[in-house]
Amino acid sequence: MSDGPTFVGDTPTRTAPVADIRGLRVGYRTPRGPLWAVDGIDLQIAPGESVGLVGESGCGKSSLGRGLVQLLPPGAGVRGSVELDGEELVGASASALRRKRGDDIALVFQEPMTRLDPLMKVSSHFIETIRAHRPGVSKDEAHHMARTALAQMGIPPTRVDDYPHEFSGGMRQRIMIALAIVLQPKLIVADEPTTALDVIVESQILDILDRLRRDESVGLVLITHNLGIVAETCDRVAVMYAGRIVEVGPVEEIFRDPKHPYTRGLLASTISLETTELHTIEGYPPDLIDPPPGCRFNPRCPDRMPHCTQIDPVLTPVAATGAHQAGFAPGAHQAGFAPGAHQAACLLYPGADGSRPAESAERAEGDSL
Amino acid sequence: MSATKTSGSLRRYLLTRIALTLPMLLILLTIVFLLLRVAPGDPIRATLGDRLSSAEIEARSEALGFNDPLIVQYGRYLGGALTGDLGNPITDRRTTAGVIRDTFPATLELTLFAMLVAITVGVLIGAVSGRLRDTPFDVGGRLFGIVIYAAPIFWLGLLAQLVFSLRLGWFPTGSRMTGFDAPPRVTGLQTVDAVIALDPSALVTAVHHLILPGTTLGLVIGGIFIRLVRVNMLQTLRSDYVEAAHARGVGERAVLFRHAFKNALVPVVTIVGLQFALLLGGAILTERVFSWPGMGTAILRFLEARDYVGVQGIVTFFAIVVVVISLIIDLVNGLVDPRIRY
Amino acid sequence: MPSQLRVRLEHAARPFRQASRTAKVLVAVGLLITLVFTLAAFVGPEFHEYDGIQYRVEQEDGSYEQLPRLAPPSSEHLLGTTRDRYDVFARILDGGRLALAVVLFSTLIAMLIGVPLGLLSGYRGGKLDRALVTVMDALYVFPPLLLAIIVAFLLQAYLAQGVPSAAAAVGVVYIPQYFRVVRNHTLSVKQEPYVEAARSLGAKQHTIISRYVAFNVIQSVPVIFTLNAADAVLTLASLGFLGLGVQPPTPEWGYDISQAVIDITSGVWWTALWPGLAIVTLVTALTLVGEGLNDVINPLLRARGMSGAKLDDDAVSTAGGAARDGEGTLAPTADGDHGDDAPGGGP
Repeated sequence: MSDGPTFVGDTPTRTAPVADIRGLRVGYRTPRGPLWAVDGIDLQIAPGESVGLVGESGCGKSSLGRGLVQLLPPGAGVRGSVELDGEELVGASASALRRKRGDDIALVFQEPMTRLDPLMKVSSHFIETIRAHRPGVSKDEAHHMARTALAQMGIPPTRVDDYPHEFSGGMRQRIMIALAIVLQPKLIVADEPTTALDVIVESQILDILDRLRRDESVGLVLITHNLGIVAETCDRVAVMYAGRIVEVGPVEEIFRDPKHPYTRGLLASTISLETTELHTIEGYPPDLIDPPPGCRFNPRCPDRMPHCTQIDPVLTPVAATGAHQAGFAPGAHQAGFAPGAHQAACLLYPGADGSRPAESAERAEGDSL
Repeated sequence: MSATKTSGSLRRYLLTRIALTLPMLLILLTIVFLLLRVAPGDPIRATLGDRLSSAEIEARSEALGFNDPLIVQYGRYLGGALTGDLGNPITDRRTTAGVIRDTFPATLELTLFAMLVAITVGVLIGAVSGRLRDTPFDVGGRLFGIVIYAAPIFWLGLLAQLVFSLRLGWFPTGSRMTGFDAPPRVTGLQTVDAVIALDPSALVTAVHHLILPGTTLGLVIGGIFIRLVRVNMLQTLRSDYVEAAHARGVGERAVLFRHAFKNALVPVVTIVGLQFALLLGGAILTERVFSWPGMGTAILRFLEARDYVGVQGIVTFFAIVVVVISLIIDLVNGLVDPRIRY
Repeated sequence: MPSQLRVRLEHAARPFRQASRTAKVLVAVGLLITLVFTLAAFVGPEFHEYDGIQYRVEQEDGSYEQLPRLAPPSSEHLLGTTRDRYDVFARILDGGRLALAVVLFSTLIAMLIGVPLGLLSGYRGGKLDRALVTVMDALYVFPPLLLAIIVAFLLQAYLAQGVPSAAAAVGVVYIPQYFRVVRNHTLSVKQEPYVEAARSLGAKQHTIISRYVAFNVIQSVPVIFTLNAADAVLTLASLGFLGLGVQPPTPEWGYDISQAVIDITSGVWWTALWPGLAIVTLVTALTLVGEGLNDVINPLLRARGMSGAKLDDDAVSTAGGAARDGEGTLAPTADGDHGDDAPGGGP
């Protein structure tokens, strides 16, 4: 993926991330107590990078996507830090957030059928969005921008003034994407954009997302439970489980050599022409109001060790096989992690218990030299 | 452009709706016919039984066709209903059509004014209530809606008369017009006629008489609107397209008015149509309290006199009016909501 | 079986626990007032000195002393007396009993006809369904008061004016409502997989209807019942006002108001005010119960995410990396009005 960012094996000088997420937590109020759907996420996204976010239903990936723009139901809370192009979103005023939404960071939802106002023409949606952020733009100019954006999505200009119900599901999703890109945002968060569509339409949408990834310098966070999509369209992938990222790294590495037992289980569960018997991960995702002690995956983990119930692992770099070194910029372990490197949060790997084994390994290497 | 496409499908939609409403009208008329034939004896005897001799009753019954087989009477009734002949009341010299011509405009004017009040009150309070869910305003608004609908129309009317007419003297206690101020009849709606005749004093008098009965009736029905608009507002505020608009950074007020409010009102058009039936029923009570010379007063008079023919005639007209209104509502719905046109 | 019943009851009770505080308060207040009314109506007359149709008091010596005419409220007659020398308070109590009785009977009539028809129509479908739907729709569209008036008018030829005829007149109005709601509910339940499963296991039609469909459909009935009851009180009062209710001089709130019309012009307010207030209070109470129940049962209106303790630091996991320890205050979501309420929401 040479079009992507160049973190891996790089020197310390790297481009500033378009999105810098640190310690993000998203919680909901429930009668039984607070539910932290996202419980401490660190993630950086480079400009133009496409990052996939995969996990089971209920792992918190949707909450993460929504939490970035703070589009959450009343009573929910966001903690931590989300910096978009250097500006902090968590704790920002409502009007500052409103300005960023749609303009700098755009959201594409799962169900396109109900995301457009049935009483408004499609072009009116664009005009409304454009003029909400660029008040000086005239209606005609905005209409022109709408036509351009829709044309990029393959929607002919003759249909620009039609009503939403006159479009199919796939076309409506294309309209939604067009609405997301019309103001040229820095980051697009697509939450299961193809889940509600059939496979043929899905591949069309994925082509569009892939094109977006290459042509524009817009970052993409693709949230999905479908590993296949991630393999096709993303540079990096982060695997989520029970509100945490359990593994992250370049796509080919993760797929070729998954390190976390959960990731292994996920990949083993996918079906291909070679599948002879079905594989599942036993058990159910944990209750996030009262998560299990230690590693949250331990009740279901085939490689579970005794101390897994006592220590909650953190992401730690894991050695990569093959051409890609899972190295990191030398100054990185002061920050605690290397953004582009392959990391996993599992006690199988040194450093996951919070100590700094890589440092000692390097020193050991150095010593041995 | 889309304009020609719209009008074509709109026409088709309207014709379809008419075709579907005819069975309902037929059933209504049949029910009305059967209901009033359920009464024992014949209508003449029931009305004038104690005033005329048996022979005379027989003669009149024969003349008016009440001895014919039921199916013949039914056919005659249906034919008459669809051509405007609603029979001749026994206790009134006018034909039923004549009675209606004299009294319907009064009821219509009252009902329209009341509907205006109801919609204004209902939409305003209901929309704000929905937006400010569970705040004191919401609770107060809902409570107001509930209590005002719980108050019987005739009771409120009496109290209104007591306070605003008798004690404060701001409004007349009843009737439509004073003495010779009536404008020449064009539509029968005195406010409209006053405007046509360019007669400002007649207009003022007409409105002056309308306010008390119209507001009383309108407020009570408005109570229901509050509830309905509020629920619609709550539903649209949590809809997917509202969330998507927020995600695009569209401003608060724009989302509220352009998306939530407009969509919330679409079902209100239907609801208005449905409440019209309630309004007509309530008008009967209002007319009684305020001595308003409308169809309600007429039908009550026929009921008291046991004039079955008169009652049947007016009820038939009510049925037709109700069906026509439901058609109008369908038409407005088609205009407002682009999804509905076939 | 008992444990199954308990499970079903728990299932039914869940919406109550999730309901917003306003909904619970509404239901509680409404129920309280209704209870007070019922008690007063049935127990009150035992303690009240006068009867609703009493216009004189027997003296010790056997003679009668007439009650005062149009007496304003006093310690002797709490709410005053009417033109016919009746004690207003007594008539209010008696009227309450009558209203509750008529309302009960009329809603029973409406349910007994509307619910089975709705079940049958929804489950069977076909021509029967279409025919019934058209008839019910036609009735539904018709002005309800007018319908009640006509039925009351017609029944007068057969029955003496009394509770049965009034209940029938009022009840007819609500048949289409029960029919429609039950039919809709039946239609959606019919699609459920468990009904199909039962059918494929060979269960008889009436078993399916009574055990599966009916139990589910019954859920929607309480809300309509209370709202209907509220409306029925008003319809009865309207009929009474027009003289089409029960036989005078039986105490009836609407009738009493019609008698009070003349009194208004001479400035007498107490013969009209109290019956009206009684109507308003009872109808409001019943509506509150209905609205509250609706808030509880209707999932669209439940305020999700607003119950439970506020988010705080205590749930932070203690093991593991430092990056996850919380510091600083919880940032509230700035987009407050997506969906339900907007406490401290947008700009």
